[in-house]
Amino acid sequence: MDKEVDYNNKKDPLIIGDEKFNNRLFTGTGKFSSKKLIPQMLKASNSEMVTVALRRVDNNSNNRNILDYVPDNVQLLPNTSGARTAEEAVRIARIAREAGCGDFIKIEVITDQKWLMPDNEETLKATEILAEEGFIVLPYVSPDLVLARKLEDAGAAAVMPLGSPIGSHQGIKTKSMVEMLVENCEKPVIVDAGLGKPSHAAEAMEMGVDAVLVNTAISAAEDPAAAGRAFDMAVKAGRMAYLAELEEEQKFASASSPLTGFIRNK
Amino acid sequence: MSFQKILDNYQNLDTEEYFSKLKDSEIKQSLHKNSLDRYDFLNLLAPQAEKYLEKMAQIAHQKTKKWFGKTIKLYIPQYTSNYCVNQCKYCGFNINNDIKRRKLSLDEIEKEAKIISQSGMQHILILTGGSREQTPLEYIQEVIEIHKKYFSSICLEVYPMSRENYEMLIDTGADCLTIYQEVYDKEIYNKVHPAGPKSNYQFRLNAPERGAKAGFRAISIGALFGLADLEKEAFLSGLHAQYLEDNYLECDISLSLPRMNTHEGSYSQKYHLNNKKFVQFLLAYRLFLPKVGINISTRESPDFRDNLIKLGVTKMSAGSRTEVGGYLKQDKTEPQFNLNDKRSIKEVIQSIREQGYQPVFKDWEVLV
Amino acid sequence: MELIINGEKENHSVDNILDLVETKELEKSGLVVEHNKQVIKAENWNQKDLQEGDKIELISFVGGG
Repeated sequence: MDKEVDYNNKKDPLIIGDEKFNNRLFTGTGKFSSKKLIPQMLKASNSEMVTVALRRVDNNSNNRNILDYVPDNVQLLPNTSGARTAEEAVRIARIAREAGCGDFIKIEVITDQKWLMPDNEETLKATEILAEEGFIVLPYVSPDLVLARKLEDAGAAAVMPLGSPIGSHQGIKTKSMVEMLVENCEKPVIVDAGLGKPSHAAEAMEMGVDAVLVNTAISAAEDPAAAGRAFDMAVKAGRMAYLAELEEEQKFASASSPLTGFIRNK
Repeated sequence: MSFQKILDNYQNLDTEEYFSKLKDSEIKQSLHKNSLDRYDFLNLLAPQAEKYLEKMAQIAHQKTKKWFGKTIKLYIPQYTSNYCVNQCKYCGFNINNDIKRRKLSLDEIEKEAKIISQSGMQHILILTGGSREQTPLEYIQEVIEIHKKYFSSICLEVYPMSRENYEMLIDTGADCLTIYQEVYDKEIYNKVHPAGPKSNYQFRLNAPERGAKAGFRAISIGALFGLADLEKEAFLSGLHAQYLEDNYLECDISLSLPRMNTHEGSYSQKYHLNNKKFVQFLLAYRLFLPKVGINISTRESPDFRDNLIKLGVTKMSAGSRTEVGGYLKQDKTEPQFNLNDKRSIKEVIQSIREQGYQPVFKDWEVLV
Repeated sequence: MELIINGEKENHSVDNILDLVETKELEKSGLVVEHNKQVIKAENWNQKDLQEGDKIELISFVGGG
């Protein structure tokens, strides 16, 4: 039998830019009924990177800073939501960095208010500029292999194809397209948007996706902490399944005729 | 009955001609299909497909894992009698062969059953020779009654019977049936079975179907390789299994690949199934019928069997004695065929485990 | 003086950014101030003087996906 594997402590880090992540579920801070639920969710889900957005301060409100709700050991991933052009996205990114957020930036350029589909062209432009300025760029785009290659060439640290429209909870409708990216991209592939159930996340991970980003499915759940926990387990399960399959294939790849090499004719 | 209708379409199939026209691209296409049709199956049996053996093996391995997991069911045969009235030219029990004939008394049956069950084996295969007089239905029923006390699954490899008789045997407690056509080629069948009840081609051909209708939960079929054109017999065996699978969903169908070896008889073998082709046929069976069981007996050598485990085998016999009274260690008869795998059950289990598979002693149990 | 704050014209009598922030009674923690397209760090707010027509963006981090 094979040697014992300690599955609880198996190292399988994901490296993005120069950061190492031990958890492949990234989460968001949008649409929570109460900000207090955010740290609870982060604890339950073990998520190590969380998205935040920037907005003009509403003069009359006295909102507590959302960053207060994110523990220090969780990587901040500000997004450029609100930007409708590359220029606006770049500006938001620079503001976020100046504000002390770090170099990570999720580029989200959306002009389609109905389906919230990304503007791939503007996203590519913004990626080029920001990568040049030393940002760790995670562009949110449609799953398109040609685009993904261009993003990688432009310096993106990962590629984030959508699973299905933002908030739609439809799961990984773009499966066959994402599979192409998994097979052909060198940078991590992170499915973002549209994942509605933990099983969707498991499915994506089983395909070989490197991580998933889940916001609405968790924040809008009755119990976000529980939802976060469920997603965490699903991501781990999917990833383990993927790795096991990979190991099996590699075993066969080593010998040239591993299954039929034994045949000698009488 | 209906399998004959299918057989009629292919009896005149000239496999040599078909293979001469077969293109490599067609073989490749068949190889990569998810669901193979009959001609895909035939393509994979072709001599030219031999070079894709490793690829076929990879796919067969995955498919078997998917449907069966990594398990091997174990069973053990008990030859209760070698009295026979048939004159099969290739068989050691041929009535014309001057061998010691013996039939176990019920007492001896029970003695053997005790010995066998001590080994942990739970699935027993009861065999009789082809003599309805010596081993009538009633005798078989009595044997079943005894075995019920020791084994959880009782399989029968006996002369073909009517549906009603099969129903009676099932009622008594048998749950599965093994019946090999021996040879699907009718002309050759008639040649090698010149006399006796076994000479009735039709009755034998339809026996598996009668068994399925009667209610056997598992049925094992196959051609005896060496009697007729190898690829064609494999092809027709596959079609027979497919027919049974498609029409009797409640029944587990299995294919065996018995190939001729030395025996007491006058038969001079024209067709020889070598190891490579044997493996090719096994893999083709698996690719064509992902859910069919594949049975490898102790006719095959230990190393060969061990290497087959990963290729799609689902059932193996172990610790077998093919002599009547073989487990009693005294007064044995001639074996029906020579064993190649003479390993103990323990050794076979160890090998199965070394391959990363789990030996299964008990698959199910009949609650009578 | 007239300032353009978050795209709107507003009138304030303030000397510098810190004054403005305090006048508007804004939560300082997490507040990002962009003055004429330049982000000014919080420790420098009291040093950045304001002039007529300056464009100010008052930004904070909020929840987002």
